[in-house]
Amino acid sequence: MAAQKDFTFHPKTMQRISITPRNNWQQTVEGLGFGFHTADVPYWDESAYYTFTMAEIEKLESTTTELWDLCLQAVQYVIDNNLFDQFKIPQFMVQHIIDTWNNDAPAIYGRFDLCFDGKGEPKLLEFNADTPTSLFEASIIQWFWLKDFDEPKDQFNSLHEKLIDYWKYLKGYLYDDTLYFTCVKGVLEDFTTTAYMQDCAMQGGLETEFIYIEDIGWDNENEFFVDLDNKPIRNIFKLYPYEWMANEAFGKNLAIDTMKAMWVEPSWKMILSNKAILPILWQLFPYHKNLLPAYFTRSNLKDYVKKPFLSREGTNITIVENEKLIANSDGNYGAEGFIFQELCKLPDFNGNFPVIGSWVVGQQPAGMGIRESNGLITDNLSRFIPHLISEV
Amino acid sequence: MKKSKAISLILVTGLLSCNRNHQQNRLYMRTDTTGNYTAGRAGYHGYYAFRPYGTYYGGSYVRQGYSNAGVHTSEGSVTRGGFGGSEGFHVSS
Repeated sequence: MAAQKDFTFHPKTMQRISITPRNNWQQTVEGLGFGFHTADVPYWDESAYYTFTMAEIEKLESTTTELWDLCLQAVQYVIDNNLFDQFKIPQFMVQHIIDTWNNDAPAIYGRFDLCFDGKGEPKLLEFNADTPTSLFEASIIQWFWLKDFDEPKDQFNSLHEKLIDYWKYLKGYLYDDTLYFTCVKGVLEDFTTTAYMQDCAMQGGLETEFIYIEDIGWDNENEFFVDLDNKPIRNIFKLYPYEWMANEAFGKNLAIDTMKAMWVEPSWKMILSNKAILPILWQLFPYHKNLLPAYFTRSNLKDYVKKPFLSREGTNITIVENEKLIANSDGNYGAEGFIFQELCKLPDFNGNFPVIGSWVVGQQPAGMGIRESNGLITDNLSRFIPHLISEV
Repeated sequence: MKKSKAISLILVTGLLSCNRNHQQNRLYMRTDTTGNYTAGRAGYHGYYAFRPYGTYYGGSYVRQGYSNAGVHTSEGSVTRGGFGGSEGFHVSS
C-alpha cells in the first residue's frame, strides 16, 4: 500500500498523490452501504488522494465560517429589498420563505464549492444550500479509507458527529412529532444520502420515518400533507430541490399547508441555492477575499463563467477566457436566467481539476469532500477523491 | 478532526450494505478521541429482505423503503403523486 508520488507541487502545500487502491475496495465500500461508487465511469476514486497542511485546513475552515456569515446577511438583504423576482422565485413562495426566515425554521447543512490551490485564498464558486449531495462519501467513506490507508493521519471531517449533534439540537425546534425523510424513487445515490441523514437523526434521538416523495399525499379536505397512512406530515427532511417542488402539482400547497409543516432545509434556502446570490454577495461585499466578481450581466468581465441560476451537475455552463470560449456544457437549464462570474481556474494537477466542497453543519464548518474532473467544469462525471492532513 | 469516541451506522449499513446478512450488528467504535474507528457490536438488528423494510432501533421499527404496490393515487380526499415529477433532472449538486 506504499504511496507513490506522481506530482510534486510544493512540499508545504496541497498535493495530489497517486496510490494503488485497496484490494477489494469495492467490497469494502459496499460493506459500508456505498453502492454507487461506480457508474459508467468510477465515481469513488482512491487511485489518488489530496494532502493538505493544517494551516490550509484552518484556512478552509475559517473561509467556510466567513462565507456562511456573508450568506446569512445576503438572505436578509434579499428579503428586506424584496428581490425575489430577480431570483425568479415564484410569488406564491415568497411569504413562505419570509416566514421560515423570520421563524428561524430548522436548517442543518450546506456545501460551499471552493476554488483553492493551497496557496491563495479559497474563492466561492457556488453554494449548494438546498440539496447538497456527496455527504455520505465525505462523512463516512473517505474516513474509513483513511483508517485503512494511513490510520494515524487525520482528515478535515467531523461531519458525522456534527450532524448527530445538530439533529439533537434541532429536536427542540421541530414539532413534537415524527420527522419524515424523503427523496425520489429509483436513485440509489439520493436514497443513500437520505438514509444516511435519517441515520444521523435517529442517533440524535429523533423519531423518524421514510417516504418517497412521489408517495407524499395531500389531504384536499384538511389541506395538509400526509404519509401513506394518511397521517399528517409536520416535519420532513427532503432531498429534492425547491425549484422542482414549486413547479410541480403540489408546489402551491407548500404555501397553504394548514399544518405549516417544517421542511428541512427551510424554503429560505431557495435564496442561497440560487446562483443569483453570487452577484448579490459581490454587491454587498465587494472585493471580499473569498468572493469572485459576479454580475447579472457580463459587465466588464473578459474571463468569466456564465452560469444558469439553477443548474446542477455543471450543466449549461460557458467558460470564456480572453473573450474566447474555452469550455461549455449542455443541459436543460437556463430559462430562468444567467449570472456571470469572473473565471477562477481550478488548479491543474496533471490534468486533474479538483473542487473543494466545504461543509457547514448548523453554524459550523464540518469537513470537506473533493470532486475532481478532467476539465474546468465539474460535472456528473466528476470523481470523489479522498484527502488527509499531512502535518499537524 | 473527529471528536466522538464512537461512530455507528444504524440504518445505512443494515439497508444498503452488500455484505449484509438479514440480521446485522454493526458498530464502529473509536478507541480514543483522536483515533480511528474499529469494528464493534451494537444492539440493533437491520432488515432489508422484507417489504416494508427498515431497521429496529431503540426497541421500535423504523421503516426505510417499502413496496408501494398497494398505494393508490387517490384515496377519498387524499391525492398522491404531486411531487417527484421532474423527470430528466438529477438532484446531485
